[in-house]
Amino acid sequence: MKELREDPVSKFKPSPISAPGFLGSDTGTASIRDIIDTDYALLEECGLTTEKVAQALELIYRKCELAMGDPVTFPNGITGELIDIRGKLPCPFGKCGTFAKGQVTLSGGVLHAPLIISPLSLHLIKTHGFFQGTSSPFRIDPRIVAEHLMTVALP
Amino acid sequence: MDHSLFFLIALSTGFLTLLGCLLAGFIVLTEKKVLNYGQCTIDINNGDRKLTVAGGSSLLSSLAEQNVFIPSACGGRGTCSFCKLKVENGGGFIGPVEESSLTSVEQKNNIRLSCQVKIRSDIRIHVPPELFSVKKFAGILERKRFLTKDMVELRIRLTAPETITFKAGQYLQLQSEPYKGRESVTRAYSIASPPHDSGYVELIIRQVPEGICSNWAFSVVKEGQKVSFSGPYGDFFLSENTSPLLFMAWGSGMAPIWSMVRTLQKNGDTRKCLFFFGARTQSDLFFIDEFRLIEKAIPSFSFIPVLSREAVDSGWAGERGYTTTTFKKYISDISAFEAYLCGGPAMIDSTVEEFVKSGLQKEKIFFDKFS
Repeated sequence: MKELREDPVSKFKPSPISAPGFLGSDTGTASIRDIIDTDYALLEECGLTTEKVAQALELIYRKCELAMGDPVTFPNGITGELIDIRGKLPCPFGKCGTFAKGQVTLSGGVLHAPLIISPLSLHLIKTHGFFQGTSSPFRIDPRIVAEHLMTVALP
Repeated sequence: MDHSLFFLIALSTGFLTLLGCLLAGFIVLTEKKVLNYGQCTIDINNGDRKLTVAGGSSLLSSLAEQNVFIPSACGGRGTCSFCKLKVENGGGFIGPVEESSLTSVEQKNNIRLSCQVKIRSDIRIHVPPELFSVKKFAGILERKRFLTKDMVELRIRLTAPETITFKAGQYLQLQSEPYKGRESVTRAYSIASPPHDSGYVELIIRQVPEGICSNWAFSVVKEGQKVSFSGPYGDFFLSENTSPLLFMAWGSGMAPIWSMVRTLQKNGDTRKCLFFFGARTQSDLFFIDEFRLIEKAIPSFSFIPVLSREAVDSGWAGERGYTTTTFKKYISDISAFEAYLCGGPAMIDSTVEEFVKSGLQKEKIFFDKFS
């Protein structure tokens, strides 16, 4: 996991690049580190690592990609659907390049709310340990991954 | 006592505010007088073009003032990383905003964010030649129609300038207006209208969750409103060859192919042309009547929608399944064709793989992969 060298907070807030931003209702320079540390503690509680979570989510994303536009039904009644979107998004941490804008939305079954996986969110988890702020529509809660998605991806 | 304290606070605040204003004014005047960079030369592509600009502004805005438009999605705020250019000489130091957006390889290769490079002296840069044909356009939204539950078509009449020159397959950068606290942004969309309809551009836009521009197009902008964009961009267009054509698209990937098909029709092109459009159900289809008219006008053209999730008992008599397998029913020898694809990366990759397995050379497969 890359160390957070700086907090370019403006790149995490709502902007022309991302309408909701990456912080959700968490704001402020200290919040990025707080979000990472809090989720790291959650991961430890669940016996997971960012690598394992990223691997599971990548598998789910890939299955949806290969479905040629059709929804994919996973165990626990969860459905995954891919939307291809033109364009790229830069990593808000910087120096990591840009990522395709596609989205897989997981919904239904045991999920109480939709969960969105994107190439950028996968990178943020895998490389920066950043799961995004509370109530961000792109936040992936480690507890939800632990409870419902690890077995979905790696039965 | 309270009144005195309040008065004291108000007086201090006023004094500090005045001091701040005076300092700001001093800085601005000093910058104008002392840091006057004068006229600077932007040397583009080793003397191919030379622009004289007033120093002090960003490279991005200076080029735009001289009608050289570099793509940018964030309006020059240093957040999108789209405006990268090679600065061979004279770019100055790399600041923190830029430094966090460039990889070490890019920095080594003199790639810079043009919105962050300030012109303080003569500068030598490289601009991809295709960007010289990019212009800024203003228009009026003449027609907005919903094609499906999540797809909208915008037809824009051009006002300044009144015509556009482009190749079928290229895209433009549409600018949304601020709404609901969201800033103006630019986003890329393929031009769906044919080049000969030069007083207009048509766009097919898919509504994206949390998408700033797509939601503006879907829910905010109204017919009669002013619209602006820049273009054309991109290197996805028909080659000069006369090979039979195989088109394949999904969703809003229809747009550049729709432009290409109508161009072929206008040119009286009668070579064999098959267009496979992948969708889930009939409710995802659009332009069916238009395509059937083109089929009548050009017997060598076939539009083949392929539905993957249409209900078995719906009465749909067309193809079912996936485009990547269906095409084999229509083409026994693919090697003579040229293929043009537009859609998401995974769709394109799978399709290219199937085409190559079937005997089509990679050099004859062209695609716009959305990213």
